[in-house]
Amino acid sequence: MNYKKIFDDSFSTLAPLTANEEIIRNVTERAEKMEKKKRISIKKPVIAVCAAVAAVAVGTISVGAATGWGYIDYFKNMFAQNYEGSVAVNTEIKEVPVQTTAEYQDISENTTASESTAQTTEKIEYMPEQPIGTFDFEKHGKALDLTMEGDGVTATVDGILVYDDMCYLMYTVEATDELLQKTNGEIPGLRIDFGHFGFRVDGKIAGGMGYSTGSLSVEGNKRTGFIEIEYDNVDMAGKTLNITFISEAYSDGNYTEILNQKQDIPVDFPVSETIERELGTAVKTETFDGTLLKARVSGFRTMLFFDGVTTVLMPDYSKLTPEQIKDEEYIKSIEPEKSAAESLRDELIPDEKAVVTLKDGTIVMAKTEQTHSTQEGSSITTEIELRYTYPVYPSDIESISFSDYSIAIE
Amino acid sequence: MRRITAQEFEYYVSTFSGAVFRTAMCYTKNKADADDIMQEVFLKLYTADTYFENDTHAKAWLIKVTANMCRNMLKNPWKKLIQPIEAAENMPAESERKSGLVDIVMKMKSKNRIVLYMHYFEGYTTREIAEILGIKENAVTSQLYRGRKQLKDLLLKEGYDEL
Repeated sequence: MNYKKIFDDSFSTLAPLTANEEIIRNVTERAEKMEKKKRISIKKPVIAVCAAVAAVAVGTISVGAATGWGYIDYFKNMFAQNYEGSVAVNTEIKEVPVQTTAEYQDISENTTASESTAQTTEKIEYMPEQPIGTFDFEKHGKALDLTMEGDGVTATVDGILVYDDMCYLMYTVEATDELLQKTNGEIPGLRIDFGHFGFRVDGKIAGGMGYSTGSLSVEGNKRTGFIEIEYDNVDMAGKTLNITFISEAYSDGNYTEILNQKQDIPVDFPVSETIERELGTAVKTETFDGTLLKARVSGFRTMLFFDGVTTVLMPDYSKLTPEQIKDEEYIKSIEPEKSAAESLRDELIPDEKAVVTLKDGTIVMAKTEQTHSTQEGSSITTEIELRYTYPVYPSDIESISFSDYSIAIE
Repeated sequence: MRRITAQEFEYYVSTFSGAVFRTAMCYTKNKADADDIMQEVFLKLYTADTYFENDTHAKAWLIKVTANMCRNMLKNPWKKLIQPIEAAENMPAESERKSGLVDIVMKMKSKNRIVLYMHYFEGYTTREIAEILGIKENAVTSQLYRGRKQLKDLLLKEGYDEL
């Protein structure tokens, strides 16, 4: 499909309702009125109320995030096991101090609500480092030792996992001290050339290609990260992936390409499958009485499907008269605070995080995203997608925890 | 920092009113709301202490302000409520379909639509889109991928298989 043509054809027909001359006249008139009001009001005495913001001690930022998650016990356990080092910010690594268990408990108990709110407004997501080296690419996918030399970096693709609609590559980039001096200590990552030439299957362009990258850990001069590539469904068995890898160094506000190499990776190993697994635990909330039906699980994502019934009904707006529709107060009076579907969504994924426990005890973090939620009469449905940065194998999942729920997968 | 002059303001309105309106349409799906947002954006431009190095800078600033204003507007529960009703009034009768391209594009998720619009219509790179919308580049590429997939499904459903 030619998406440029579609957008050119459709959006070129959209033009403002108001002519440019009228916009200019309207805006200048309104600005003059605002200026007059400002001049009048400036003569009145003004009392400014300043809200003091408490200074937050170094390191409490991760406590704010932990409190928000509701995974206090998880973090206590994690810190008790001397989990130290760096933590990942979204998919980028930043070194920040990590408290000892005692410091953590002390801060946790003394953290006030206002501090927690202040942390929330930072909109920074802290995520523990993901496990490295525990995923068995020999068992699922294929272990690789694909080494590429660049200008100041050596990149190695350590393993690959292939599905019919996506693949995952784990890599390590080791930077020289000389390069790190230029980049102010920032170890470059690895990505694919995002264009029609950057990823092909048997030399042909793969439709619907998208990709994401991120870091899993940083140790010394090494960064471990991943590349996830999504494409339209293809039978991948026996095919060859043609991937152009790129690495860029960031310094003085600019990115410089330091590695650009094409590699051919034959899919001479079993293609992984997305499987459906039954979920065990029923879910109940105040406004929702439903049951988890099933999960569709692949190595990178898990789809959870919910449905149920609710007693909180939305007004049927199609039956309102035009006068009622225009009456904001009337609409407010008949509208429930939230639809049941919204309540369910807010309850299930308030913090966009999930903890996935594997059968061997490994803990993998996932980002939750609601993909579909509807209410029709008393029936509500919602789907939640969990996306991992570290691969899991569907049969290895023991349980998934998010919000206040821990769901065993049978 | 200084305010823009009247001549500069006229130039920016005449050059970028279309881009601002289309960006607002991506979020609001409603011409009247998009028009209101557009006028608010230009009021902000007129009253802001801002200065642009070039047209690229000015356009990026205008699109960013438009996106922020639209997001704020859509948080208003009253707007959320009346939108489906207005949209329903504008829907063509069943017999008049197949839907036009604009109608189909407007059925997409707004976060996917805005990214596709900025990439394919305005020609921004994923990095530029990330900077303007204040989201991560990974999120942009992901939304581009999902948006293409969603649009393709919608178009095929409506009988557009030759685009």
